[in-house]
Amino acid sequence: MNTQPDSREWETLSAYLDNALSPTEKQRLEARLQTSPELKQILQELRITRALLRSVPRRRAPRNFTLTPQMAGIHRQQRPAWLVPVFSMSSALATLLLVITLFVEMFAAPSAAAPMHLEEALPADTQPQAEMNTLAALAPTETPMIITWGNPGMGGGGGMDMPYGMAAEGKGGGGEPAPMMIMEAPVGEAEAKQAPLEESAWTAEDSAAGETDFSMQAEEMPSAEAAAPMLPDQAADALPMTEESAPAFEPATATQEEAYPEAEFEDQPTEEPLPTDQPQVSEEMTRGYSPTDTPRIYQGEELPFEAQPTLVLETPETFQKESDAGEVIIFGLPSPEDAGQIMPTSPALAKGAVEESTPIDSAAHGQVFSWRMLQLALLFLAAICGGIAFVLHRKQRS
Amino acid sequence: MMDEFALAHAAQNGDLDAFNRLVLAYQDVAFNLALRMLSDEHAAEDATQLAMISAYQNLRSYRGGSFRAWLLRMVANKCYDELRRRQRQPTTSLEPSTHDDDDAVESPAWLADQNPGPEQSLEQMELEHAVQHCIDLLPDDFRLVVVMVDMQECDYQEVSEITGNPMGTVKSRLARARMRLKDCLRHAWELLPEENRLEGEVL
Repeated sequence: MNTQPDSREWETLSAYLDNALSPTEKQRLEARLQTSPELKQILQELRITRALLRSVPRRRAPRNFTLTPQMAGIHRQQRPAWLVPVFSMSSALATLLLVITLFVEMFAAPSAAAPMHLEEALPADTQPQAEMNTLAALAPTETPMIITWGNPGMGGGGGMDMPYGMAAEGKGGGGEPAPMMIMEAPVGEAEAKQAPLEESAWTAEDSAAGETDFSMQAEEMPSAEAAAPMLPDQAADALPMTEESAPAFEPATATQEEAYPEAEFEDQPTEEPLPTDQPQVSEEMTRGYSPTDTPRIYQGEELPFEAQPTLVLETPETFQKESDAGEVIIFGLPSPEDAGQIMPTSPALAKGAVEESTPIDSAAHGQVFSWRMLQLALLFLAAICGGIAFVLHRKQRS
Repeated sequence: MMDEFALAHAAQNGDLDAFNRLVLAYQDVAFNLALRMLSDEHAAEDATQLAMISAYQNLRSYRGGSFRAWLLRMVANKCYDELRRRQRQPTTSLEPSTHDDDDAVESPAWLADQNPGPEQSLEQMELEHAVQHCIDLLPDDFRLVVVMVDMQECDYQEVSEITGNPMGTVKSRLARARMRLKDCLRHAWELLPEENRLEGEVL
């Protein structure tokens, strides 16, 4: 205490405590310690001091100081700052669109129903036969009752007369009127059955006048052409006949006549339009609307469902052959199409109506389904974007 | 025994898990060093965490040797940063700043101010607080050396690596720090457990 050792001696004493002196230094110090009790006292105090320091309990780390990836890679954390706002805004936008769709669905429910009708109409337009089929489906049930019993003779006679009339009126016209009829049919299908009968007469004349028109109308022909293919027997004969030559018609008429005897039904189908106006039909039939009759006949024949498909198959082939062979493709073209049309018309009696109705329903359901899918997609998008934005935001804050 | 070098090498290649294993191994030593240097738990936590981050970011500067010494150097640097910040923004401290006055350590006037007798107050203080208090009176460089040698049980060579000072400087600072602490802690001897005191006398 009284005599403090100099700094040199301090260092030696301190190093001696830690046993950090060289052997010579250590011997020299120990020799001096023997002679200097003061120095020995200081050394003792240093020992106690060091023991005090070492006796201080060591603290445990209050927490782990391990690094998270964010802490370790601050430079790596540099995500584009616009990510969060973009995701959050997109989430909000998706939510807004979802709400809008919900509102539209709620308040526009009636309007939503309207488009469904439109869709129904569309397929009908696209397939003019649709209504024809439906009407035909309805008519056949009633017609057989009325026609057969009301004018059994009329129907047969009308049918008989018609072919003749056809032949009398025009050579090519006989065959052509049918397509014409069909042409108009798509426009006003309901009227087509009735009015076409009359119109078919003059249309037939017009058509006879210019075949070019027919070529133009060839596309539309399909609907009207149904008549030709209708008759199984006629299909083979009538098609070629219809092509150009009137004489061909006569055989066709013969075939028709033959067809009549085959099935009494034929009278009924011819009368199908009759439910609206039977007398008109009969008159028109006499005028020579055989083409119009033929389709009706087909409808009548359609009653035996099995026979029809075979007819259809035959007709298209014949038509194709004719179309390839002759320039007067007008008839040839319509006939195959007619076959196609006939096909639907025939099933209409049994299946057609149902089949068509189902697509309409499916379309409506499809629209609702797509609507739901859109809402679900928006909901999913909003949730995903919101979640991403939330996670990114948390990471940035952390 | 953990392979420091392998883990450090893996950490240098971006293996954060390897680095965190080293952190877990040395975080207690690092935190105690910061705590004795800064005498504040929260500041010690911050300094330790910052030192770990700095260590990971400067792993390339580790070229073998004692990873503990290399890591404690990071801690010491962060402690110096904090101490410098305190000097720039001095906080009202009840304890006198005796860094420039060596005599203040030997005659702690601050004890007399609060209590009638230094002995009584020391008796009431726990050993840790007494030691920490006397350590706080040391200059930063002295404190760092004595803490590492007498409280962290580092050898001279390791301290030399940590502080970046030559061995002679380490010895000198340690001796001077011990002399000051001897006088400061004389009244705390009775706090020392009996066996330690006897051991010290025998040795």
